[in-house]
Amino acid sequence: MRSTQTLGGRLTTTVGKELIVGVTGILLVVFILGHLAGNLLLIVGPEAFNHYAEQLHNLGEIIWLARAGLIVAFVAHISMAISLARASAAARGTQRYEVEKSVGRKTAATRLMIISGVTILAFVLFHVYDFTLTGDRTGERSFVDAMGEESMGLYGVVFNSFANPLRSLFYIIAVCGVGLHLSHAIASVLSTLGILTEKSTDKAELAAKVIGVIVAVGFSSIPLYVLLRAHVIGV
Amino acid sequence: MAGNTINVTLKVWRQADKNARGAFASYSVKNISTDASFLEMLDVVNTGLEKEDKDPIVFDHDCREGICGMCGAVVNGVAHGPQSATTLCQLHMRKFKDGETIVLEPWRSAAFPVIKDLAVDRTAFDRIIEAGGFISVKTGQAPDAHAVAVPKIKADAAMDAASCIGCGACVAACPNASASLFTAAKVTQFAKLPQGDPERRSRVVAMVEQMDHEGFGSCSKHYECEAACPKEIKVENITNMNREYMRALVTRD
Repeated sequence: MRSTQTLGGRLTTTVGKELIVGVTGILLVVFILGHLAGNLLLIVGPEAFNHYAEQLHNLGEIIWLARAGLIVAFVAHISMAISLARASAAARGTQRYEVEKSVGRKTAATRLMIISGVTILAFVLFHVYDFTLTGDRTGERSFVDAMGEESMGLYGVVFNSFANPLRSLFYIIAVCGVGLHLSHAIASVLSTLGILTEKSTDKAELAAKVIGVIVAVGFSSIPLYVLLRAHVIGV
Repeated sequence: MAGNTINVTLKVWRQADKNARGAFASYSVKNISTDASFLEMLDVVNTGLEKEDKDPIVFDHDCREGICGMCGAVVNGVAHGPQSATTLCQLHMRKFKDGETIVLEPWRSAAFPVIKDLAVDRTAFDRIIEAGGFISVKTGQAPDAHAVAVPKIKADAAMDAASCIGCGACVAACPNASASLFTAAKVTQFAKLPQGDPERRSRVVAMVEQMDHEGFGSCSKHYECEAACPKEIKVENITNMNREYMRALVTRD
């Protein structure tokens, strides 16, 4: 009996793995957009942002369910993508072309998917460690000197973190990587999942680029805002 | 009227056999008519090589009319050369400039081992087709032509997909050496028609499985294949193949 007689087996072919990468990718994009909307509350002010953080924590088991779902999606997305990339690298063979000229739609974004992806993985691990695991919302990092004696909660932690230009620069580069990844991914997934037609491909590619830019600019605006408040216009 | 002639330098990949280490060799080609096809130019070069008792450049070719799918090489980094929607045999020397250096390489892919020089072994494609299996038809007297209705849109889509000549340019052009465009075209030409419907699910799974088994890569949507395809097979076929594959995930034939 061939392995592809079963559903599990059918999910292990290249197309099966692509489908897994696509579906999990959509979940991750939904999360990213929600995460962005929530984080932008930081620009609204400390109350709005801390209230949002509080609300999320009050969800209790639901937040853990969502986290578990995200972790599963993230691990599946990365492991399948790496497996596909390895197979594709092997398929290209050992002898490279002397001259290679793109006549199709190959761009930096399409070529760098695995590189931007692995960069995002490294960033996410650091980011979760930085804010979720060590971002004590009432600890030392939550006090902003210029804002008085009171703890500023998670807002204060984020503010103090991004007041450091080096950390801000690192985050900005990382979220631009996310934007680059999405600028191809969102059009790609629509093809993978059998949705695109010849006519809608151009529109999807444009939409993907727009969302990529929104994500990169949106997330970058937070460290930029903090830098501006901390070093230029004052808190 | 005497046509124009040009001089070009050919930098050709020479490889004795599958396991040999290949290398580029340069040939100076003088006074080639701009009306000559690319393969005719290679014929002239080979005649010269044979006169000098040297090994001629091996390349695949058959119909030289752009319909058989036998010819093909990567010319200056582009599969089948600089003219879009054209096989190598239908490319003419007028597309090149006098004094130009033309780099000529075989399709490079682990699944297409070099037989010699520019000729590669494309039997992997045959095995993907074979994996697709049969279609169920009643034998005996042919049914009336109007007995099986096929909507025009589907007939056109199937015909477009069926125009794939299996040359392998899609694999050669793909950064992942994926055979997705070829396999998708072959899946689509049957899936769109009532004759191919009974086995559509097992067919797509078997062909994709064989595609993987042959060592082709996966599709990451660079769409280089579509641009390189001499028959202008659309990447929409790949989207359709994935749709067929999803159908096979949830239902069986």
